[in-house]
Amino acid sequence: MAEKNPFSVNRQFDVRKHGLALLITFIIFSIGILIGTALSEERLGFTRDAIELQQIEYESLQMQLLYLTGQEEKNCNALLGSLERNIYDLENSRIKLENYMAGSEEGDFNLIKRDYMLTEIRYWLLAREAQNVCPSDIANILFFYEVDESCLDCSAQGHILTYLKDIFGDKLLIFSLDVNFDEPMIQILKENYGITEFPSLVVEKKVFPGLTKKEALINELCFSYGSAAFPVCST
Amino acid sequence: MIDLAIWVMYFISTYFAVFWLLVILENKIKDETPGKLPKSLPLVTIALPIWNEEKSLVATLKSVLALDYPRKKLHIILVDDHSTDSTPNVIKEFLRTHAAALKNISIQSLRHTVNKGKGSALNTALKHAKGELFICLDADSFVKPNTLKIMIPYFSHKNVASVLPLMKLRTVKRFVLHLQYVEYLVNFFLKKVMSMLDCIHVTPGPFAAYRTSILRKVGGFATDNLTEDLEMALRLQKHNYKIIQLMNARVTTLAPTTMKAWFQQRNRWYKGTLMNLYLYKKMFFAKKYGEFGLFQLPMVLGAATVSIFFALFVIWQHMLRPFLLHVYDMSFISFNMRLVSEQWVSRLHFLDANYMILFFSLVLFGFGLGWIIYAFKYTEERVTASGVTSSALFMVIYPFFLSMVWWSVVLDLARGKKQRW
Repeated sequence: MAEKNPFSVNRQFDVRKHGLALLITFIIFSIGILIGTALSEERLGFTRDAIELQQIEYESLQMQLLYLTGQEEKNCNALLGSLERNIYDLENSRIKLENYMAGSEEGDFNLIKRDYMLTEIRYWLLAREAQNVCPSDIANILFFYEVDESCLDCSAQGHILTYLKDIFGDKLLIFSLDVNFDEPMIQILKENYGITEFPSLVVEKKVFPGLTKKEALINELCFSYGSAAFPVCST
Repeated sequence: MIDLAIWVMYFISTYFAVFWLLVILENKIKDETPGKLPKSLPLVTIALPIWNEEKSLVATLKSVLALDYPRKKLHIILVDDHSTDSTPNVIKEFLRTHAAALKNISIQSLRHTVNKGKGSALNTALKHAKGELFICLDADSFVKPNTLKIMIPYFSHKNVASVLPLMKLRTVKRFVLHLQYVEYLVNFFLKKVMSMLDCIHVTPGPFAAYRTSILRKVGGFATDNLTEDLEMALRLQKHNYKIIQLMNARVTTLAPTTMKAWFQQRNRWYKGTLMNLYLYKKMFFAKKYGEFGLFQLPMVLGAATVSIFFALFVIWQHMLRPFLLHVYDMSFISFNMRLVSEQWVSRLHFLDANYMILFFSLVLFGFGLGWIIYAFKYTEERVTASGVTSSALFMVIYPFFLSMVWWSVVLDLARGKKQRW
């Protein structure tokens, strides 16, 4: 290249340098996207493993219940304990799944989410059945939510339920269903309980449409437990 | 849709950063070898447009008198653009008390009968200028004694229209100044790089030296412009004149010391930038202006756009909104932080972090830090504890402040606020 006069005005457009800059930018982006894809794969695997484990746990519980149904002397404690623990784990995994879905391509997760939704319903049915075989004071809450941004209160309701779970511990079972999810069973439940607005709760058999505050829920639950069961109920 | 826009902006920003980095890596960042200092030094006109500068004017004038330059070759023009404070008395007093020091120096003191603006004040000076070179000096800036002699040799080539010194802050004692300290270093370092590509789009006021004949040829300063220094640079570029940014010629300046003053100054600068870019829109993507038209001008506009939308999208979508939603959620459980943090910790899993976002943030952070390190190195600024503080402020807080200024500009323009320009 000829020596440039440093005082003349250079009106060249350096195609080579711009090309290189573009290439490097693309490489940076490719690395980022690769990381994103790998992360997505890992998360898929993780949530899939978690739900597979839950399904095996479910089968085990179902078997326990079947066995107990025919027994004269029933020892229900083991069954109720692991039922509660599994439902709690399932809820935690579901929350993780929702978070992952918020941050990536939803398509890949849809099949897994369907598994989660079905498992939630399965456990709910199992819990109802268990109530017949092993009567207890455990309460069930069915939580209908939307992932859509327009449902501001869905997340607030989720927080309230977490708060209640913290108070009532293993005496409370929470089952969450995404109403917008394309699963016929969810639609059947929705119609059955006449759910039209979201969030909505079904506590035992009573429907609470819209955002239900923690005070109202504590009242309702205390009523079903009997007033002396928890410190929060006597105040 | 919003996410797509953020990614596009990220891509563009990364591209700019990579390109400038390539320029730095390929070229040695140093001042061009100047021509020789001519045996007979040229007569230099130093023009001081003054408007209500009673506080700093004397120090500025003293720095001019301390210049290492033959007295007979200096021509100083003070243009008081109808100050309303005690500036006229300060000037009179200075001329009286420094009569001995001013001996042999040709000095003219002029006063506008009405306030006309900085561009007009400069033109008044230009009309009376006798010097071969015409130097603007804002009355809030101070020149180092050797500056002029360093700058003169660069005018040996006829095509050179303007030579610019490196500008630093005079003091860094307040938060607002901390915010600007690194900004000045980074911006002037960037301007040096731009200078090497003939892409300078602003010739800022403090001690910008021009060739008088070229100034007159292109018609003097714009009088109805918010940022006449930016307009002048664009005009010189349009006529394919050379503008050189130096690193070893130095001036210091007083930056705004209150948030409000800073905000007003930036509002004017950026509004001026937008308006002048509009004035010179024909240079955009004009192939005959090479890098300046195809890259630099679109980049300036692109940076403004990124800054404007950065505020709207990123701050709202990823910071304010999630925060407000969280507060909303928490309000229903009596702000039970213990519960929420326990839940969070018990659910914590290494897959929860979004490593892709982390990677892109690190890349952006790396570029930012790289710029700052380069800027410190080439402006020969010592790295002190306060410099590190400023750098951190610059990287974390500054972008938000900048977007706020840009938003104020957009809002002003949208509601058609009257602006002198």
